[in-house]
Amino acid sequence: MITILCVMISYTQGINIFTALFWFKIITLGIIVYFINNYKRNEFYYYKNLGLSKKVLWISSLTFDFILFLTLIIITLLVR
Amino acid sequence: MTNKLEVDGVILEFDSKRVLQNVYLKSETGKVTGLLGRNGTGKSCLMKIIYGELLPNDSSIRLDGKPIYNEFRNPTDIMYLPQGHFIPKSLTIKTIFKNFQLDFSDFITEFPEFKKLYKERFKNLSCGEQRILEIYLILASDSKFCMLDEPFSQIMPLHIETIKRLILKEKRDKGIIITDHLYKHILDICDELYVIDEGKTYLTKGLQDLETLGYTRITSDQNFNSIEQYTIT
Repeated sequence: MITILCVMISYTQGINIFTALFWFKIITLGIIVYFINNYKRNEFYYYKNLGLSKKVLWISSLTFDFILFLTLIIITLLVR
Repeated sequence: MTNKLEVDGVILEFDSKRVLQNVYLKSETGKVTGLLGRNGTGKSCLMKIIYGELLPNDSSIRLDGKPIYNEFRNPTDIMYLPQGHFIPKSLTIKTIFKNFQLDFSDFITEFPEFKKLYKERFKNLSCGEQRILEIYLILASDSKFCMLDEPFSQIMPLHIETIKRLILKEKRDKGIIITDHLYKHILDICDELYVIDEGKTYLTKGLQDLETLGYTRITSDQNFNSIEQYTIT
């Protein structure tokens, strides 16, 4: 949802807004990590019992999300 | 093959308050190791330390004599049932069994009432059903050791007996560490029993130790007959 919102803003505002969107994305990712670590902490045991540590889960999901964000923003700016 | 899990030298402090010190605990294939202690004595903390979820001030954890330094635990070595529900609520029973590579038909042999729930989501089960499923996953999975933190809470007596039978069946291939305040069930199935008191573990030699260590008053317990068969081997 945040990525889609960023894409919509970048489509209307152009490259000038990129820095602000970049830091907005970083901050929202930080907030998401904080809340999931607190409110879903028991669910990490499910994945650890399957051999997936918290570190692996976070690195893979955040990397995927951030690459998706960058890719969609770049495509949007090129298409615009 | 017999595997051995040992933990000692554990020091755990929260804001300079020492919770655990001078702890020793051993689990072996073929044995159920009970862990009792009053509320807040650090039973769950000790399990989390063994599972690499809680970083103590100092500890030594050894699996078959080899020290474990990092926080990662291979599920083929050790699995852990925490106190609260740990399965993501949106998953279906079918997916859960697929993830853990377990056979659902084996599960319904023990718990036939789950037969109609195969395609249900975890969140649609009752609390007791959720707990039974969680206990089964940890117990039945292929690992050298498993730790169960309060498995009998929320479970009806009939199913507690089934779970105790499952534990005794599974201990043939693994070491099991178990803690629960329904201590009579622990006494029924454990081969070794540790009590944590004032941050230290004591390997009990008899029922009298539970009273001496301030865990229970057995002599005044009306149901004493049900546990008096308990002997430490």
